Amino acid sequence: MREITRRDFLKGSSAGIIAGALGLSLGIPMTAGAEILDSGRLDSIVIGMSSDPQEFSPWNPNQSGKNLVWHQVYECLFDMDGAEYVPVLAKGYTAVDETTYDVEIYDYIVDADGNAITADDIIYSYQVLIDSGYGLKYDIFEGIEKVDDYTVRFTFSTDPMVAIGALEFIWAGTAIFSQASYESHNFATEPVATGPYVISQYQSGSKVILEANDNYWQTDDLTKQSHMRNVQTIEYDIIAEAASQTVALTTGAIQYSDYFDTSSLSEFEEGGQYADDFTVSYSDSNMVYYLESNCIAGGVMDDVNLRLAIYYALDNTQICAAVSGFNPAYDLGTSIFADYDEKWESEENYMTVYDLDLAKEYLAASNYNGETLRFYTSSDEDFKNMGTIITALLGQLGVTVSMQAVDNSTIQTTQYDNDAWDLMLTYCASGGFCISLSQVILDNTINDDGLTINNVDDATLQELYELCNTMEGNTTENLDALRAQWMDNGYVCPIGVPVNTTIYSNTLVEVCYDNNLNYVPGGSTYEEQ
Amino acid sequence: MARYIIKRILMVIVIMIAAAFVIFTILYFTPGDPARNQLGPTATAADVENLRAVLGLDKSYLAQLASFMSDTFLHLDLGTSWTYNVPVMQELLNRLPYTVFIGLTAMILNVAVGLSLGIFAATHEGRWQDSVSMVIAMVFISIPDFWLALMMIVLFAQRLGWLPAYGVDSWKSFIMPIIVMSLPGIAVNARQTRSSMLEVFRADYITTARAKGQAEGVVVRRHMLPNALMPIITSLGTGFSSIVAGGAVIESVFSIPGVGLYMLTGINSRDYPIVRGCVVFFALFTSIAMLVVDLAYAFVDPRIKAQYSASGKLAGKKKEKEG
Repeated sequence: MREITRRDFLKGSSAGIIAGALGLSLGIPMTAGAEILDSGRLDSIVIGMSSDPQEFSPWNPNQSGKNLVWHQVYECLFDMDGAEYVPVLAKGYTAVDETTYDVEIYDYIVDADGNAITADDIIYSYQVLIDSGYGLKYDIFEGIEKVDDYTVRFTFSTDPMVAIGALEFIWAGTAIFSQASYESHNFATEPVATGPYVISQYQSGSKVILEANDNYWQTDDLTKQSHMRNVQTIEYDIIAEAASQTVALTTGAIQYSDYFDTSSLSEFEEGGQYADDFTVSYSDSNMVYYLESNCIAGGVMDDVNLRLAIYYALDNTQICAAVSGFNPAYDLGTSIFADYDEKWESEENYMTVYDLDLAKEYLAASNYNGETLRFYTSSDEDFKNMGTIITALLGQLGVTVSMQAVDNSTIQTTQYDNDAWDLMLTYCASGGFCISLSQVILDNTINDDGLTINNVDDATLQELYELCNTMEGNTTENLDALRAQWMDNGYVCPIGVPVNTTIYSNTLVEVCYDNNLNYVPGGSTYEEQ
Repeated sequence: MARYIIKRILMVIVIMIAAAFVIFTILYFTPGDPARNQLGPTATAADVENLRAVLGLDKSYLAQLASFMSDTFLHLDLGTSWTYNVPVMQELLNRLPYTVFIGLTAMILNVAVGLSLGIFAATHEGRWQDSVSMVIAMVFISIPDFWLALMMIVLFAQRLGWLPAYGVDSWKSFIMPIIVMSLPGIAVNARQTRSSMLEVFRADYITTARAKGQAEGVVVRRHMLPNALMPIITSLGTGFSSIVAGGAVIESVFSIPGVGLYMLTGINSRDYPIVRGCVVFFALFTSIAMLVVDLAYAFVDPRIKAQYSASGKLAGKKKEKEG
């Protein structure tokens, strides 16, 4: 049976089902006892979680553990499916004019406590988010007002339907909840929302248990796949060590893990000791590791020949092979994104070609005088290993670098200090489109100074980026032009794409992922073991 | 004695204020923007500035310091975590039982086993029992706790299936963390005890006790051990204070929701309220632990008790004179 990849999922327009591999024979079930209840739901599933969600407030910060739970407890007006806004609480939207949109919600929405959700609650939810300081990417949001009990009107500063995913955070990232519930519960620990699951137990640093929401408001026929309740009890066990998650899989303590000891992977793959009981799934992640040059005017890296010399001296294939779990990158994006073009994989450029002679020619043409370049990367193992190999490869070229491996918080701060660094190996991630992922690197409007994050001052680049970031302008031709602009100038060198590898029990028949590639247990389907 | 205790308690307050000041200043100047860290790389400069204002990070050093000191010492409020969104004290109290239970049990184990091993080695000095005991101690102290924890998980959880690999669901969950945590302490105590015992082994009063015909067990228990205990108590004091802060690695490997892991999370995510709150809490815990240790000296060593009493009387006389 064919395994549908995450790439198929994201490129497809339908809801998020990925058929898990069914090719492996059923052996002794590791999840013995997993049974289908009369309601048709699996009784329970235990999932390994590598980081503590910490809290469950309605805003959605940069926290991987919380994301897994958040999308099952909270709902927004819309979900994202690629660049589409898929109605959830909303029935749909209508344009009043280019910058004003009315959104009508269902008139029978209730939260887990039974409180009805009306237009007033929607306005209240937006206000809570804005007051919290976590209102990410609200720059085009100008206001929200009530039209009637079940309709609200949004006003924006520009037409939100022009740029790709302009409302991703405003419409598809803002949780809606009732004012009555918010005022009577501490949402940080016991959120009461409209999602298909409720938190029944949270032990900080240890586990989160979700139960199917018996008060779920939507009718079965209108419920989206990722909002279904195919499991009665979902338990997330917080296990910070990869080796411990591997052991937990083998002992049957957990049935799903995407954070395990990769040296044990072969035991779960075909021919391995546990292959009969588990499925291993691979796909590109939504993340790119890249090397960027600090192009600040007057800096040592303000020299296109030096930048190209460095990039041509890097062998991405070798680097990714040495640091296991990576595929070489061919763009500021990965193969799962809708606007990714496979032809990029066969093009010849510094991502695909390792040419030390050419690199030396560029170096000879540069103004490099033997300065030691300040090279920053994260102290996480993969970054450190990649950084060490890059340092060695640049040593072959004759470029001296001083590598500093620091924690992620320091990396983020250093990146904004124009005088602190010359080269930086870091990463970015996004959902849906390569151009969305590129925003962090290529868009000069993220910072106040009119420069990109690595201090590029290039009006053509910005123009091309803005063109590609529109629904109409996101064409192969424009994307090629944008790629040519950043490659010809050597602004950035994508290195590798982490491979998402998951191991799950054969209890799972079809695995459902959301737009951010988070596993959605309630939307997946199961069979009794 | 009471005067000495009051003096020490006043010292604890000074230590806590100093610790609070130092950690606040270190964090203030540590690279890493908590707001940027929480919002992630996709946040715009405006988003970050907005959150900095909400978190109070846009205020001056002195304003933030004054606010922190007054909340901590006048209102006994360690603040609310930016990432957990619950008061730091509440979370500390939730996690403390796990950490203290594992730490204390490990400590009892390492005192009981370490002392026995050390006494056994000292009383068999130069013989094979001594060598074996010290080899065991060397092995215990040499094994990295992280590695040992993983090996124990593989053996007892994966291969034998006797114990759970992680979590805090049953009493069985605590067995491996306690053993892993106690082994280095057993080794240190065994070596310390052996060394201290050997120092008093040939002292005149021991020879006298033996000459009086006392049994060897009585000599060891009544005469040698109390005199050998002083350096051991000192090491217990530092061990006691590290109970709260020292178990982050073990807590991480066994997924124990303890205080060490909490602080580690706070450091990694630049959650200043967690780090500052934990440091102040640790300072209090350590100061009290050291006070208890100092008082314990008095019960073990009559000379120290006499010193405390003498200094109290001396101070009393001085006061009388001044009066």
